[in-house]
Amino acid sequence: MNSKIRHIIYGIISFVLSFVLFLLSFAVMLQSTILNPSYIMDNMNTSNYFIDKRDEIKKSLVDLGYASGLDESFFENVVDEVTIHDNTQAYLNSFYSGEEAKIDTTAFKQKFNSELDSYISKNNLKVAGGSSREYLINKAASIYASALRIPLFTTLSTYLVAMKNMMPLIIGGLVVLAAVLCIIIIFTNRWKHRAVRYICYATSGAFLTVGIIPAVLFSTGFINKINIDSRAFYNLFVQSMNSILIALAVCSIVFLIISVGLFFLHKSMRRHASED
Amino acid sequence: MSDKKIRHGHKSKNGKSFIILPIIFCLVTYLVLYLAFVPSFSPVISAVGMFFSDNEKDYSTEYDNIFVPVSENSTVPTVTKKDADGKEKTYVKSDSVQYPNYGNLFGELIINDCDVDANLFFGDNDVALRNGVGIYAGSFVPGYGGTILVAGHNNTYFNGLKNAKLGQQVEIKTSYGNYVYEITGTAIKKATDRSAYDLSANYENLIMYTCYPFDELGLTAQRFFVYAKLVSGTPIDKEAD
Repeated sequence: MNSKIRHIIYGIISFVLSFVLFLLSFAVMLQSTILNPSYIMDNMNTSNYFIDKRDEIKKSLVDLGYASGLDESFFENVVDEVTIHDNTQAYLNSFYSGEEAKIDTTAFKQKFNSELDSYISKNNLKVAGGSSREYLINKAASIYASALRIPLFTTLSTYLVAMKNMMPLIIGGLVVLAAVLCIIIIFTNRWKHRAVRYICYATSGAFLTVGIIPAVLFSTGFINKINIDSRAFYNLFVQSMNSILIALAVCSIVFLIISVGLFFLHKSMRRHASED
Repeated sequence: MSDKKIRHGHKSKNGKSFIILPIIFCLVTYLVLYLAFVPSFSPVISAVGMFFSDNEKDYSTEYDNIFVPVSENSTVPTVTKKDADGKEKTYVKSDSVQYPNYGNLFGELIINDCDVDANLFFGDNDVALRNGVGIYAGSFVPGYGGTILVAGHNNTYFNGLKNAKLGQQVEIKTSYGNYVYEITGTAIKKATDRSAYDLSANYENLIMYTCYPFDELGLTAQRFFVYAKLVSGTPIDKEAD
């Protein structure tokens, strides 16, 4: 085969291998991050999500208190991190199992109700007529539930569940495809150092393609410029995205190490071939 | 040695391929992805752009404060014009007015007789009502010659409205001038009653409202309205806008 044509053909195969490795990196990253049920909970713990969320809910409830005659001190014990943690965990678990996700406000309502009883009797207050008390409790529960809902999660949950089921197959398929391409490159080259060289091109290409994303996003600080009103969600988002970018950077570094290894292997094999 | 290099295909490469080809692979990969997703790329980029700003969000302050009180000795830039009756009238120069954005603290509302002294915000969201009283964003700022609809909580800043009486004075201070109003009436109406205010009025009037009854526990369905007319204050030169 003409040397130039052969070089083009193996160049194309190397590119396809590079592309497959890039997709594989993304698939592995997705599988280990947002498709992993414990990933968001881990990030919530790391980013002090539950403490921030408790403060935000308390602030919203204090606003409700201003409108309904409840003193700020009333809300000191109405919300706590443990209840928020448990409700959030149940909410996320139902998402990842494909069920309809709802925030269970039962514990919150019970706590609010009992605190309200003691507050009324302690301060000898007059309760507005009608279903005002019921309305107040439901309104507080609705504030609590909406504060715990993760934005866009309902929209994304269908795709998340579908991807979660498909991802092992996709990863398996990409691994097989990458292996087949490597085998083609190795077994169709008479000189094995050439095969190593083409695989080295592919891994170097994957290193750049995967690495450019975290490099650009980290250097520009783009992730930190997201506009989210809730500080808890902001910290969670930045923390989660940073974890994803670090995962990509690690993938990229792995490709770099493989590329450097293959480069020296190629050098050594070529020298041996030349000596032979 | 040279023959072997030619035979193994290395002669002209000198290792450059190890740099050039990966860069080409990287560029082609993103080109392929771009071409594959080009129909959905633009809306995605536009949508992502909406979620990001030029700077990091500052969580240290809840609102922007643009209120700089006008002291007695200082003067606000004004312009004198003839009104429809041919009389000369003084207006605040429009370009000297810093109109508030939604959520800005831009003034102070004081009713001495009712013990009301509150920050005045443009917009009546939670942050505004937590820190003072807020003008409904669909109404007008003081001096603009329309209805100023101000909301506040009945257990905090507008608790004093329960003592509102006819003839009492309401003062609104802004960075572009101070305005005085006189209470002309009060009313208790349903929260859903839109006849309680007229946002299309072509004269300056102040309406303050809060939940009713006062000092009761629970969310109420009634509102307490306090109506006031403009007594003094330099109007804004709207025609220049």
